[in-house]
This record gives sequence, structure tokens and C-alpha cells, in this order.
Amino acid sequence: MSEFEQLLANPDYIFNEWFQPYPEYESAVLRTEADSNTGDATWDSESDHTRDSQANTATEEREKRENALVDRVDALRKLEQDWDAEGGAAPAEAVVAIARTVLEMLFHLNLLPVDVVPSAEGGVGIVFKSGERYADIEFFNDGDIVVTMSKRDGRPLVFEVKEITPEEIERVRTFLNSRSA
Amino acid sequence: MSAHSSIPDRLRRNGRPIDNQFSADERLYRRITAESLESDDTLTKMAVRFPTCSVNRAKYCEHPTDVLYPGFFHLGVASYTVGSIPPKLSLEQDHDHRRFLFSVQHVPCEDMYPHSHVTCDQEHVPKTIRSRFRVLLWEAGIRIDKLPQ
Repeated sequence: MSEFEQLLANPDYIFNEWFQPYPEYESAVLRTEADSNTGDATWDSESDHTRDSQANTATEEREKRENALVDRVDALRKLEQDWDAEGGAAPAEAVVAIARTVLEMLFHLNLLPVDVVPSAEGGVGIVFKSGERYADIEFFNDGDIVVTMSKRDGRPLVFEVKEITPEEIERVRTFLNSRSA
Repeated sequence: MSAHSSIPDRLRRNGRPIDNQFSADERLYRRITAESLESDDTLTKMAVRFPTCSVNRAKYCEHPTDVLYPGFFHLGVASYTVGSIPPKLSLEQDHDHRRFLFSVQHVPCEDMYPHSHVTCDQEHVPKTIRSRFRVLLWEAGIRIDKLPQ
């Protein structure tokens, strides 16, 4: 059945398949609901409880990571000139604010970076890693934005963008999740 | 070691000449702060500074921490090899095919003979080239020799 046919047959499909900001939690909840609707005689409240517990743990873990990232961004506001002992410019307030907004967008789109750090070039970098793959979104103090993607093969992809949109974030996600050479 | 130490005589220039012979495996040391590190104490491209950047060359250092004289012993040290520096990068834009050359030059100071610069042959360098340089240097391997305190 095509995606469109599934949508016609079941309007919930579009929600279940497309809008899952917290897949670990959502999938656990959907599984639990499906199980309880089967009327299966072997329905096991203990395993349901285990699944709920795992979903809660995943959600708590995620919230902890998100809070840590927000703390990292807020800490950038306290940096002073020469923060890197090489004359580095502190991140501009406006750039920190943009990075904070993009971070919220990333949370919503379910793509968690590994860190948010000051840039030696003056600005803020949102850093992603997946196995050998590395990507960053760098917000410069002059307003420029550069996206870098590296497979550590000596051929990084680097490009400027006007703004960070959900499409750019999907591009980063696709790169990080791709396993082809 | 105290926060402020007098510079050992071995690090002073003492009339020695400029030596621009660098081997590919010679390490270049630079200072790093705690803020340069990611939360797992690693470095990424973000901590890499585009040329010109000051480094100390290993050939005239006894220890990586020589770069911390005279008063930076609370900082850390990171290093990479001369061979890690991409020798050239080209723009790949429609009407702009400029080529940028990178090199390391011995720029001794009177009180720091190993002092050197990683440089680019042009001043106005697009951010995409700057970012490519930085990520290539990071890909080639940046070693943390000493963590900042």
C-alpha cells in the first residue's frame, strides 16, 4: 500500500508516521495502546509496566541531554574576549540567541546535537556526530552561517546558508544517518 | 610549576637563525582553554583557528608545555603535525576559482625561538575555504597533549 493510500485508509497514519518528536517515547506508547486493544488473553501488565518505565527513562534521559545543551548555550553568554587565549572574539549576543532558537528547532525535529561550543573564528557552533560522521552548523558573529559535513575522508562538504530551516536540518540528519561511502 | 615561570634559556633565540625546514611529522603545539573543549574533553573543528595562528614547533621544544611559558600553565596544549595542514584549497564557485596556499613559517621571537605561524597566502579568504581548512586539519588529527586546569 502506498503512503497516500495508507493515509486515506487511516488518517492517524500521518500523525503516527510523520510527527514523532520523541520516537522512543511515542513508539512505546503506541505499542502499549495496541497491545491493550488486542484483547489478548496473555496480556501482561508487568511487561506493560516495564515498557512504560523504559519510555519514561528514555524521556528523562532526553530531557537531561536537552537541558545540558541549553546550559551550554547559556554559558556562551559569559565568555569574554580572548576566551581561547589566542585573541578569540566572544560570541555575539545576537548569535547566541539564534543558536538557542535553532537548538529548540532541533529538539522539536528530534535531532540532538552532541554539543554547542564557541567558535575559534568568533561565533557559535552546533556540533553533531554519528559514528565517523561529523557535522556542524556554525553561526558567525557577522551573521553568516556555514554548514560543514565530514566523513573524515578528506572531502568535506561545506556550504553557506542564509538561514537554518527544517530542510537544512533534514539534510544534516540524512548525512549523519547515511551509512553509504 | 608556578603560574608564572621565567623562560628557560634553551627557548630564547640567542642569535639563532630562522629555520624554515619543517618535516611533515614535526608537531606544532598551541595553547587551548577549557572553553575550547567539548563536554567530553575532545576538540573539534570549532577549536581550530584559521591562519594566521601562532604555534610552537617541536623541533626546538623539549616538551609540549613549552608553549605555555611564561604565564599560561593553567591552560592546556593541543598539537597537530605539519603534514596535517592542507597545502592548498580551491574555490569551486561559478566565476571564482581562486586557489589558497597554506604553509608553516618559523617566526622566532627573542624570548621564544620555537614560535611559528601557520599562514595563508591571501588575506581575504571566504568562510567556506576557512571552514574546509579547519575541518581538514581536524580530520587529520589533533592531539590533546595536556588538558587545561
